[in-house]
Amino acid sequence: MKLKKEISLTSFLQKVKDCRGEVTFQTEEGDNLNLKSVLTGYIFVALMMSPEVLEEGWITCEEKEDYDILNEYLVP
Amino acid sequence: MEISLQNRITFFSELLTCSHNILYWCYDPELELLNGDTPKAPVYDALLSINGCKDYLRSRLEENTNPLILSDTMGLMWAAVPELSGGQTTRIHVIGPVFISDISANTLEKHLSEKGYSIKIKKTFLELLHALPVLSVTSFFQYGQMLYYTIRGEKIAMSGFHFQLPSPEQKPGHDIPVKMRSSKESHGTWAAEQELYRMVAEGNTDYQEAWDKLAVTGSYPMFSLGDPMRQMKDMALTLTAVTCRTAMWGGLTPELAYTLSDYYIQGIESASAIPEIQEILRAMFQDYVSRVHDMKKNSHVSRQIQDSCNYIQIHSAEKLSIADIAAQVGYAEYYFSKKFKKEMGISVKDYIKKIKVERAKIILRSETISIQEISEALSFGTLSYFAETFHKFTGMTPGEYRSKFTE
Repeated sequence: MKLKKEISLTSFLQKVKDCRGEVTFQTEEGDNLNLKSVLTGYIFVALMMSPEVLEEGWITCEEKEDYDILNEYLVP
Repeated sequence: MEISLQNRITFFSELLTCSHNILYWCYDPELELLNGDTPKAPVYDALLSINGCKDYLRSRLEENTNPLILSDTMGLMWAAVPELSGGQTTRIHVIGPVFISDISANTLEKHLSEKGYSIKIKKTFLELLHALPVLSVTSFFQYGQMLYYTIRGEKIAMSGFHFQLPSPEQKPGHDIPVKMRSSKESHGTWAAEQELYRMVAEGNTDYQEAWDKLAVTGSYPMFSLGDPMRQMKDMALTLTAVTCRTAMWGGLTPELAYTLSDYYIQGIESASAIPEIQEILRAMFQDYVSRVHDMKKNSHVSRQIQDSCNYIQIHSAEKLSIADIAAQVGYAEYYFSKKFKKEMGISVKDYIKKIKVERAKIILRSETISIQEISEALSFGTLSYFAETFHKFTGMTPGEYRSKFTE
């Protein structure tokens, strides 16, 4: 699922910590960012400087119920 | 002619960009950014948030208004100074983030390469990394002191800053050629070290100014084994070893000096953040200085009683019996107790309690383990007995002491 525009990425990353399974951000170029990783958090923040990457990428949750947790940040 | 606060801030924030391009930020009391009108402001604000530094700042501001040094697991550091009016925080002035060594940036670049990310991702992240200034911890502390002076109009020693210690959740993760130090920084470091170690050998408890001077003028080793944490730990181990030897020159017994060294080295190696290491170093130094001081004060005490005191200090975490201690120094219990009281002016039982309380004070200041665990570690039997004994010697409960010292 895609990320909504103009969300707080820091709030989103905070919410990811509440998810049971892995949460990854995948890009058009084939990157897989594990959003629970500390280093990836920094990379994700850096992507605020390239908003098109954030808009084109999508979020994948390992556990289905985690989509509900991240609901307010994702485009239905 | 008095310069307005806003003019001082404007001038200082421009000065920051002259050499290291350190960024300045202004927050309201709810930590919403007030000067976020640059395109990259949200990115830098996010860096302060994602590893818990902003939450930590928020929680500290609820308790007091001391300036802070914040740091995260990636080797980024900030300084924050609350602006006060009528005792209330009106704004919070922050400088940073900075990398406190080029090792942090190099390590992150290396991780990035190993992960095999796309060029787009690498380019974006490296652009952010390379925009962040790199400077030594001591240099950044100096900027922190200047920020404080700009906002509050008075000087502050580095010991006046509160250093963020890691929460239990904040747990993380080579060959760099040795850089030749400049003559000026080498001489400054050596002079500051000489004064500090002289105070150890003398047992001079008025060492705080010399300590602050080393923190400001000293520079850390210019080698690295691949990450800033290792660099800081190696520096701390060196400082501990030298302090230990200097204390022995001052008259501390080798047995006691090495035992203390082992204890602090263990703490340093277990540390998970740079400010934690700094707190351990402060506690280590105070411990050695005060013991040399006490030893010199008690120079009239016989060798056997001094040895029994050393025994108690080394084994302060254990359950001690007077009979065992007497046997250690070759006396019968009754004779030993009398002699101890006569020479030390305190009963053996009370001395044991006093030493345990001193040890507890160090742990309360430098570690985040619970009071229950400290009580068990020092063999007090029960938590209430520990609290009662602690209060007898300090006038405070362990909790009150910890709160007071970490304010």
